[in-house]
Amino acid sequence: MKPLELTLGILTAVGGFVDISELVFVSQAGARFGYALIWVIVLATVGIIVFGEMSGRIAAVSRQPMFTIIRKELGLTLGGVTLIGGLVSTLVTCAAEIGGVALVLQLLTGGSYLLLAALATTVFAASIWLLPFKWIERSYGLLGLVMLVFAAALLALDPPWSHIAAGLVPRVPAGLSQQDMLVYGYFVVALISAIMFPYELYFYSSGGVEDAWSKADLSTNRVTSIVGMSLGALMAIVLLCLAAQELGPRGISPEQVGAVVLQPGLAFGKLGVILGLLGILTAVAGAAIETCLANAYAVSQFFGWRWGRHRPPQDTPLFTLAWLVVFALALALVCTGVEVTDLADYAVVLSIVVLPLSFLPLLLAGNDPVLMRDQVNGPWSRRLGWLFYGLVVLAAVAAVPLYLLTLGGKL
Amino acid sequence: MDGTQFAALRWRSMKPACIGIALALVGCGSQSRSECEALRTTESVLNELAWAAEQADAGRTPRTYLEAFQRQGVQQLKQSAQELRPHDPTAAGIVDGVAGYAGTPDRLRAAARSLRAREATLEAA
Repeated sequence: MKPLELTLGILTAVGGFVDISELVFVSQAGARFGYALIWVIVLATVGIIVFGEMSGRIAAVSRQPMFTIIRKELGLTLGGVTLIGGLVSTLVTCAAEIGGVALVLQLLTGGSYLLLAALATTVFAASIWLLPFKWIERSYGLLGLVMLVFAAALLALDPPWSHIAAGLVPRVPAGLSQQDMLVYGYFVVALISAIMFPYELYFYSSGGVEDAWSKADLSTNRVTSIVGMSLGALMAIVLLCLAAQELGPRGISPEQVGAVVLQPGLAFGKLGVILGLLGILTAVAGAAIETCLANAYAVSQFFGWRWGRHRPPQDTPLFTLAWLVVFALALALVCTGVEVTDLADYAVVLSIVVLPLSFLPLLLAGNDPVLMRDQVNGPWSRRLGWLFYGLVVLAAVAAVPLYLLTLGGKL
Repeated sequence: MDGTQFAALRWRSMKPACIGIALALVGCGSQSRSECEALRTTESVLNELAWAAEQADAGRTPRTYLEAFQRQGVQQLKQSAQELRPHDPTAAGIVDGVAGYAGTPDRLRAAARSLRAREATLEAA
């Protein structure tokens, strides 16, 4: 394990953890229910660590990325269903990220939303075309660390630590009406989905293959996924706590992405607002690239095309075409005028429905002694894997009814 | 009309249909539910604009940010007013009263409180 590589990997995971859906949902959750949903972030983070570590280990040992495994384990028909579901949910997520970037750029420059969305998409496409994989991953991930201004703001605003600690204990707040209970349930499901997005695993697993991971990288995989994702989750908790402390009491359940940066502004003035905007911009920009590549990886791996950013674009024509088409479709979706918060809503609901089909092949492959040899899932990985798989299935079954009954948590 | 407004108009025309289909799917279609949603969303936007204006008065927000934030907010308010108008013209009128400009924090908060009261009445009904 090289210390510099490891540190960079962890920092990248932290900076890349937050995306537009998490930003929207943790802020709305904090504004509506105070600190009562912190435990969901912790629970879902343990889940994404279990499956993230597993996907990295499978990539390192078998040199097979996620959608190769999915096709092998589920077959052409069910694998195809998983592919289509994953593509749709990740495309909507990509559109939400591009829309989020455009909104933040508009707040920084005052320019036209659609023009900025097109400009941002062009910059993302140029980044993928020109930069090696590691540079793409690291530059956006590390720049996302500007989000730490939100943590500094929370500390400066003297948070109620006892309330935050109480939020770590799973509970339903007392005195909720039947309607509030449904909305609480919706936020539980939405937070699980926003933290365990399937694209994160498609990207992480494919990244392992891009970086030519081998058994020698297993410790890096383990430490990066555990430490990096845990620290990233702390950022989500910070956003929830800020919203509970500053937004909820003001009657705000952020409908505009720009409202969130008023919180660092409260602590640090204009500099806080600008750093907050830059932090969101880089974190969400990184997520836009990850979602786009995740879709191109998925379709290329499923159909057995040559893929990867470790190869020049001309050597991977179908893969290159795939990510260009994903960007074009996501931008078209943004141009319909659908609001970013609505896109984030659709993204989490679609994603949670796809999660069981994405996670099952991973679990089966990780438990397969022929494929994994001495790196097969141990007793804890197996137990935790099935436990979280059951949780994800429950969340997937509840997601659509809760979405419809609460109008996306807005009631 | 800039690109954002044009795109928002197209979305505005589609959104009620999408929500209607969703409600019909679960057999719980109810005008008051979607009206409640619109009132709650609008109330939050008004409070966001009020807080931003207060922060600007205290010198805590850059001018470009504030202007763009107010433009985004006002546009959302106009959409909300259109959504509310067919079923709750009074609420739409309240929003119209502050949507033509960014408004002072006090007026924005007063509008938010009026919407909150209408939402409470709807919920009770």
